[in-house]
Amino acid sequence: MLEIITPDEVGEILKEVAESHDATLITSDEDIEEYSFVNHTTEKVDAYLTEVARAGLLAKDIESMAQKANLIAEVL
Amino acid sequence: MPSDHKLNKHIAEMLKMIVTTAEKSCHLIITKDEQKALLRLVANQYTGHKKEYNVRVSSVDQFKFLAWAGIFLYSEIKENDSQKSRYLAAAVAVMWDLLQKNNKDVDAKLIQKLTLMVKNHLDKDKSHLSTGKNGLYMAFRFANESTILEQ
Repeated sequence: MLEIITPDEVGEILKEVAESHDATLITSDEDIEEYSFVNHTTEKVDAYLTEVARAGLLAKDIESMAQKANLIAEVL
Repeated sequence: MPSDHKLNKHIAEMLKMIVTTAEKSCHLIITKDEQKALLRLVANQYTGHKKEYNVRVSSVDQFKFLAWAGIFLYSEIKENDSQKSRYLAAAVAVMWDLLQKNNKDVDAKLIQKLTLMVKNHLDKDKSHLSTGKNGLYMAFRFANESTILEQ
């Protein structure tokens, strides 16, 4: 069984790193709104990540990524 | 930080994709402690990037996060692993898959060559024959954001 980092643990690490740099931290959705936009056309990817966070990764997507990884590894 | 924070969820999912792809493609394990160490490296890189380029973060840039994660897996987290190339390949594979989710694609041979150029940079410092973490990120971002002009 693969053990995966949780969103809470991600948040704790981001906070820890930001504090170590005395940097601005994104701590809430409200804070995010204060930043200006970076123009990424990644809405579909964003929606996909939201969906997999809700429903989990599909077997066909895992298989697709694994096949690509093997193809890339052929030349490394 | 709220547990339902979208940013945290997306980062956790991207890490899960890399971990799952490495396991599925070649039975390699990235432990939870390694995932945490990897996230610290990427977050530190983000902080430096923000300062240098005056970037203001509104959300996680998937390709930036995955490119840097793949390279840190290779060069730091799995530095002494004989199969470290497979971890880099897993991260690039996730980027490639997300590119397709955005209805974009690049020829497989080009992605193979790009990944080999990244590996060369990390292994041999052949700077004139290679590209680094930002080259990998920008290549995917260009592919993702390219448009076709009307004639």
